[in-house]
Amino acid sequence: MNNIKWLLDQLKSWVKEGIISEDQANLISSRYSKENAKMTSFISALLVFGGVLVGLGLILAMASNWQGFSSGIKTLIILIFVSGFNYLGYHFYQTPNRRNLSQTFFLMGALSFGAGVNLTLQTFNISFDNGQELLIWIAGLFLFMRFFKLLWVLILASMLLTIWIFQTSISWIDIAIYGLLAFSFLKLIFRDQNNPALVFSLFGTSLWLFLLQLRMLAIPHSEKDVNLFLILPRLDFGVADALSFVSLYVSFGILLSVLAIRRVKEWAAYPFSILGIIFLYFTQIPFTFFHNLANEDGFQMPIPGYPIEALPFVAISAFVITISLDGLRSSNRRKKLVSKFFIAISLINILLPFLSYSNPMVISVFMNLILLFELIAFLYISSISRNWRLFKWTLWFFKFFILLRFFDVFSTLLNQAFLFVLGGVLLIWGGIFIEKQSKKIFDAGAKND
Amino acid sequence: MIRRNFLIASLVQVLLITGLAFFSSIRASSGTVVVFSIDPMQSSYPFNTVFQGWTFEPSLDSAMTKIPNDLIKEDLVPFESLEDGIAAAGLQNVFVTITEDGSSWSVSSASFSKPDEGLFLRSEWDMNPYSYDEFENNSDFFNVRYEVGNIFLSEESVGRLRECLGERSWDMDTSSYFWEIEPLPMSVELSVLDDGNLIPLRLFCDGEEIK
Repeated sequence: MNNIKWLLDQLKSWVKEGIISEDQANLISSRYSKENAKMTSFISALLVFGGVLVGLGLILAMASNWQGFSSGIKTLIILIFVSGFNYLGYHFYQTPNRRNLSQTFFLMGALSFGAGVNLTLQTFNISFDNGQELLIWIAGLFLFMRFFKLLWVLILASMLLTIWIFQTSISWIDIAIYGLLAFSFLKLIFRDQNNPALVFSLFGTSLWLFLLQLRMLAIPHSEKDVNLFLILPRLDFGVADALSFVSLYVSFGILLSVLAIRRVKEWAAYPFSILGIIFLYFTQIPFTFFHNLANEDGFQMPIPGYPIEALPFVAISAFVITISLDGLRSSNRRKKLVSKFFIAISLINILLPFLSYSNPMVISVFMNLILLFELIAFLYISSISRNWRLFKWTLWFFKFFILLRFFDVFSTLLNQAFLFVLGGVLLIWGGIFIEKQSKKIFDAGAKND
Repeated sequence: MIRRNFLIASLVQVLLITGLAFFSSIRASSGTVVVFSIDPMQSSYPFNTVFQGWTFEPSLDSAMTKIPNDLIKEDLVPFESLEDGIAAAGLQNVFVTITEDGSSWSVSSASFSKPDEGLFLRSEWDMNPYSYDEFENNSDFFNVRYEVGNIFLSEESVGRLRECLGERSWDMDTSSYFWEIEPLPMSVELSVLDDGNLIPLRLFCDGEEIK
């Protein structure tokens, strides 16, 4: 977000909070028109694009491993580039109206620092197995992000951290380091209200949760803190384990949705809403036709999972239940209902792995019912809590779900031509119906607002 | 005036880069320098990466990787009786002790535990299926694999390295590689650290230094 956009957004909340009057807000906003904001966005995009190109160019130049210089001279050249860009970034940071330029120079400094770390390792033929060079890169950026509000550097660092967790050997030490770093990053992201960095961090965190649960699954098989990939072939991966991973992502999705609906961080409601419903939906949907996937030679049922692997999703669900409990005591009926819903789906989610004691058809039927219930409940909750973005996304997923089930169920009962004709008619009718209903809800919401 | 925060953050970056350079050079120079021949058949071709440029990971030749059974200090454990099957063998470190034999180095003993004395290299039991078969057939040696590390090369050096590595092709009839263009003799200078880990220092081809 550029400075003008930020100011225009802030003006609305200042008027709401009574800090300034509406007239004063209009006076200020007339000085900074939307055209100005658009132009500044364009210039900002150009600057960042230029900075990224220069930074990547430097990385490539350093990666070409010039042999003409001694290692001392190479190190000195790197330091001149890094310090020079950072100084320019700092200089323009202090100058009014030059924040965009400052962000670009800081980004170039960050990229050349990364190039420098890699070149130093390359000069001495040092190679790390688990991406430690990325950690050194992140460590070098951390204080800059801590002391200054650096939009692009924080995005870059969040991306690097997410890439790093992909490269690790998934030892307990890696998991602990990521946990600590992600926590520190989230603090900075919330301070700077940096939405793109938040999205990268949430993806990184979701991957980290997956690895944490996988590591827990491997506890009975590994005596030492060794590379997890060496142990993987020894794991008896069963239906209970697969359902445990579904529970994990559903609990993470529920947590994000609760944060979005409770508007814990107003500016982050969008990524929380969208990622929440995405995690919840896409991890459950494959199990809605589980009976088609499970075969006699594949998943053996039931193979009970290890209780300890349930710890991550039970902990997240317990947290969701705890923060939802105060809603139950509320006098507001809607708030009470929302809290009841989140507690109910959290409890069901904890019990999900026990479905492995049933058979594949029961799993499919149960997951369909659960998902349908969740989608309808999310539509209702997002409409009463005026979270229209969540409402729209849930509506899309709902339409997709209905379509999927239509083809799944009727493809075995009808011939293909009839199936498509009927499907098309149903889609058109359903589309018109849902469009009408959602318009009604939107209009009602707008009137109430 | 420059704010203290900016200076601290900049200083940390400078310290990280200089510290990394200093630590790397000290670490490399702390080991014993040895030179081993390279097996061009087992070595991969150089590859290019975005951040680090051209990279080559050499494999040592069979004088170092094929260890006679009688050199191992402990009793050899058959694969079947290893706990958790083959995967356990992959975790097995083999410490290979070497002695100087005139101008070259040769394997004098091997052990599953870290030796108390002598110059030794850390290796891993090679999990490739050939060594497994050979072991199952009660052959008189086993294979190990060393983490030699990457050697980073400039654009100019890569061309020369490709010439040195020759060109191999797969023969469908015999199910083995053969040389289209014969490789040149290659060797790598390594620093062997106290814990048996290796850092590559220089690469030679036909007696000339490539890097």
